[in-house]
Amino acid sequence: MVRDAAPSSPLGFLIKVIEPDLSVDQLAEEVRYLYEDLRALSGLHQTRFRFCQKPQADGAVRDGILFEADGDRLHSILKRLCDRLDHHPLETLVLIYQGALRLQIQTRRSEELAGIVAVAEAMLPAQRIFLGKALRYSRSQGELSPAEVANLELLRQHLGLTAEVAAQLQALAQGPYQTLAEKRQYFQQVLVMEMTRACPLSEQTWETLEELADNLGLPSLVAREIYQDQLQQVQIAASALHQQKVADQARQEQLLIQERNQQHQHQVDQRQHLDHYRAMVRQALATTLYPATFDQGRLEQARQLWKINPELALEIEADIKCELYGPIASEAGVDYSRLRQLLWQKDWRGADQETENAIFQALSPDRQPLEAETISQFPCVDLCTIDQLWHLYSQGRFGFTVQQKVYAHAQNRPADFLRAVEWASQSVGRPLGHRPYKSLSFSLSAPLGHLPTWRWCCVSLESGYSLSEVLIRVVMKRLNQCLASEPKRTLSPEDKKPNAN
Amino acid sequence: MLISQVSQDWGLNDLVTLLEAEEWQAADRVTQSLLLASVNQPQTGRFSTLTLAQVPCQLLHNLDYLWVRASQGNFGFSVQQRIYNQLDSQFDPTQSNWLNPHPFFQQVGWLMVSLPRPLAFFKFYDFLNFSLDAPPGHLPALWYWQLSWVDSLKAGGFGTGRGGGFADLARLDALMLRLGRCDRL
Repeated sequence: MVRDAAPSSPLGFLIKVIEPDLSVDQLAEEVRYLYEDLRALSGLHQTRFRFCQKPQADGAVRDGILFEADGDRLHSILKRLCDRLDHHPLETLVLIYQGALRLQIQTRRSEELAGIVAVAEAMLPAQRIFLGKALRYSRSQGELSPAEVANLELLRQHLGLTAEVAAQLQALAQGPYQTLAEKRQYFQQVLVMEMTRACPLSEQTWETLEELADNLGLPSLVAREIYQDQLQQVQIAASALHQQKVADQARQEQLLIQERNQQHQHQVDQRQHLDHYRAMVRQALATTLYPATFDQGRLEQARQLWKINPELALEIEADIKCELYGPIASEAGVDYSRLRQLLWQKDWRGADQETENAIFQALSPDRQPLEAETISQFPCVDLCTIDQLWHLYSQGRFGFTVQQKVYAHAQNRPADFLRAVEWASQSVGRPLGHRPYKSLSFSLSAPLGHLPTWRWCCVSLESGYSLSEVLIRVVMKRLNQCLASEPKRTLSPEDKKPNAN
Repeated sequence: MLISQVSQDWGLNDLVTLLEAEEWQAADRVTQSLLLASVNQPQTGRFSTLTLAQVPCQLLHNLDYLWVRASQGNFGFSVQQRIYNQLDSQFDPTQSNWLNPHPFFQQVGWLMVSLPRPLAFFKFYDFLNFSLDAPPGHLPALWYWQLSWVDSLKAGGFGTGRGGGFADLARLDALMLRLGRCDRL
């Protein structure tokens, strides 16, 4: 290390004022002047001075100075002392030592003192003087200034060293990093490495770094400056990072809001599309339960354009059909759309058959005619659906509710009911003549409540569509149970007409 | 003949054997036995319109399939149903009487007298034509022939079934309705 390469033992100086005529106060003052003079010398302001104490009656008094200095300072120190003696001759003791070598002189005359300079210089090897000087220079600023280089050159000549030796010594003094910039760079490098481990640095680490700066010959002021710079940079980076984070967050929020807006817009659009699609379906279905191929094609195009999924489209279509053509709700899982279709087509005979078919699907898996027990468990929802569909398409002429009213009008007498709906021949008083099923009237001109027939509880039809009184009572009971609770519907005027019979 | 050996516990497999052997009368008897067993009427030996309306569709379908297959489409319930449906539209049930039977009966050759005009007297069962020469839909016939003696007398017969008696539209109607309902299953 650089420090270890420095001369281990500089010259020691002991300067004592031993003028006998001086009072204690004067002595102390002279020593203080001496101290200040020496301190003022270039290259000595950092030197540690110690004072020699001379015991007195009333305490101790300072009578001399003890310090160490590099060999190259020898000349200027002695010169200053000579100047002092010239100016104010006082008996002075000067002791110069290095290791075991001692050179002592006691005089009050400057000429005598000047005489020992050559001797004292001879005490030091020339190389050590040069090295000391170079070291001091290189450590003072961190690098050699041109003036310092010139001084060293003069010193070299004065000491009689060869240029090569001087260059070697100078390189030794300067260490591996010669210029201040290099030292700074190296220090900064180490500093950054330390700071990546912990930031800010612990006191201990900083001390170690200061030691490094010292070893490098980097002034501690510069080192501290670098540290502060670095700290500031870290802070700037941190704040930049923070700012960026904040900005990122803000941007993300913005994006989120934008996305949400888009989503909202999309939903609004989708809703509009759905509304539009619904309107189109409604239009297509307005006049017919089975839209023309052209309309179906248009709907399919619209569906694809607006990205409505097929299930939803079917659902919309089913909903609108129910709205326009009557509900087909079922508790028993029966599809009443075929019944609706047949009624819409005014195929009364087919609708009657389909009514039986649907009821069998709901209640009689093996399609056996319904018996009293089964009828009393007829699902109300299905009963209501069948009733509503017949009611809707017959303008209130057909359906269970109409039959219910006819029955009530017939004072709940099954025979009168059969005559009223003309399921039996009309002649009163004579035994009921059963009509064959095929002779029933499947048209809107049929009597109120003539349809739907109750063929679903008959074992035969053509040999006579006949219903027992018991069966009629059972069916009516069930109709009352299910349809009485129905909200009162607006009936067509025809429905309100009293039965002509 | 096998007929005397036919008992109530003969099943579909026996029917297959009889049909393949063209033992039509014995097959008709087994068919009747199976039909009655399906509606829990093995003892009464006859059908009402109610029980006809309750015969399981699957059994009707199976029996029909075997008859049609064995007779190359000459016999079977579906053959009778087709004939009935073709003729029914021309027939007014309210005009049904012993002089004017359902044209179905004449078509399948069940009437005793058909010339110069059909009369609603039915052949005796043993005089039915149990061969492939019989008219389409001639068999199976026992479901229509077997009556209680009261019903037989009511129908103008001799208390021994359909033979010699008049037509009974309800029974025909009931089975045909049943067949029609089963078709939609």
